[in-house]
Amino acid sequence: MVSLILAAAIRAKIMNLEVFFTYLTSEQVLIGARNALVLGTLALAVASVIGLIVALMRVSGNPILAALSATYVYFFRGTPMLIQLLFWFNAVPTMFQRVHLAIPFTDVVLVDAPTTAVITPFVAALAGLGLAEGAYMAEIIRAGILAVDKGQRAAARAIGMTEYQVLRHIVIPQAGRIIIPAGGNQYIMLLKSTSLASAIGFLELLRIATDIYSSNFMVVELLAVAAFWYLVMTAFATAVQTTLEKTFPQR
Amino acid sequence: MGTHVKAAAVVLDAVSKSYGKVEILKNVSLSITPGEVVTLLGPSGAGKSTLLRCVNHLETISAGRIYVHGKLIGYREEGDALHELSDREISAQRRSIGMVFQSFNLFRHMTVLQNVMSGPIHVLRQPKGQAEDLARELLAKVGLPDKADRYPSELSGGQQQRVAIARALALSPSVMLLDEPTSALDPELSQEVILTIRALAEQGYTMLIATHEMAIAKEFADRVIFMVHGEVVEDVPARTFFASPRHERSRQFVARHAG
Repeated sequence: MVSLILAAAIRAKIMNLEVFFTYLTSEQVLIGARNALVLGTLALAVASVIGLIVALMRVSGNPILAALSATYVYFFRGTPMLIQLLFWFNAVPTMFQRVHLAIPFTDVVLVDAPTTAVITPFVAALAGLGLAEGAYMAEIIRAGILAVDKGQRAAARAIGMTEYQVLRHIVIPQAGRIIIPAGGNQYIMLLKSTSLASAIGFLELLRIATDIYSSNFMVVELLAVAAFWYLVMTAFATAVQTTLEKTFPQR
Repeated sequence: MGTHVKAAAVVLDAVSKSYGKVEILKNVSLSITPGEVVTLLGPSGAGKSTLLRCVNHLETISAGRIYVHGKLIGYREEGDALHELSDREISAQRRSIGMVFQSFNLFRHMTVLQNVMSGPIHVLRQPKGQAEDLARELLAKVGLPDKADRYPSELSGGQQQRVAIARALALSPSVMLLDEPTSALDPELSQEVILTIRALAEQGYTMLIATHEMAIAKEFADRVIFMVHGEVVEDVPARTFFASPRHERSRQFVARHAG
């Protein structure tokens, strides 16, 4: 469908192919694409770690941890990602003027700087996307854990594994395989959600495209360039997912 | 603790177990001597599986005490009070109790060899080479030396159950609990599993087997414990049970499975 629209646009001379190709591989655009890929990938890593912790809290059987976990998911899944990004970038620096991080009982100071210097658009975008996506990942991982057959756990306990070993050697490897397709889905969503960071001035793909077209008015060409690179990133994420599924098949 | 508790392989002393208001086990007492093969018979819902799962503390009991080789299972006794052991202590106790499940429960993401090695490697922390030698030896023992690199899903049910037996044996358990080991298998596949269990019996393994398989009870069990509704109705030598069942329920049971 995209190619049909593109073909129609070229035929109707709405889109200038020469301009499209010039910008497709221009340095600015490539930097934007790289920034989007790096942000999306790191956000997925952050989200996976948070998701695993929050999911384990939820299934721990401890009512306090489970309630904390449910609250986390409710808040971060229940508010728009864009609001969260704006919150980290604009609201946090007005709430806390200065960041002071030190290792307790020592003189080691890790960070001591004005908040605006610490929370760059990249940091705010990574925090916003990672924390919000963490809530979705928590639910996906929880579903994966619940899908592991109870008999597997019973057998692992019966050979004398501790609860931690059961989790580490049996539940997580099996749940991991179950959640690969859903995880791939989330990776693609995140790569595209990096475009939200354009609202806080992070120089990702969409921000660069809109910056360029606001000065040369080649709106169609530059949006097409951006769309092209999102499609490339999606193809990359799909390839990663397929490779993982082949490497770790469900048996 | 009486001397019989110290000498016995497994002792259940007035064990009860309920889920909410439903009593699964009612005041069950029994004792198994080392080397003995005991079958737990009884209709479905009699509490046979629950009893086995209590012996290695996969299920907690509501009252009574369970001992395996003189050690109180799942609890520490301080005065009159029982305190549940920590996760680490309970898993240490389970190492010497092998368990085989009706649904095999082989670890799906591991090969047959990895399944059999999982206990020695992760639980006993043996070196890999040593664990692999043992695993291959055990696979040969259960007649599956050529399936080491297969995944459980590629095996028949009977083969999976034999691997599960090898996995349990890898920890050199002092007691084997078998929970309906042939119930998920058709008669032909049951036969190969029964032969494997029989070989263990001949090697002197102490076994407690919940089963519907009369061949096990008749051909090589030393004793039959017959349960109905969570109670032990009869606890007699296997020969006696089949020749002259005393209770109404066991008479009906024997008559139905006479063929």
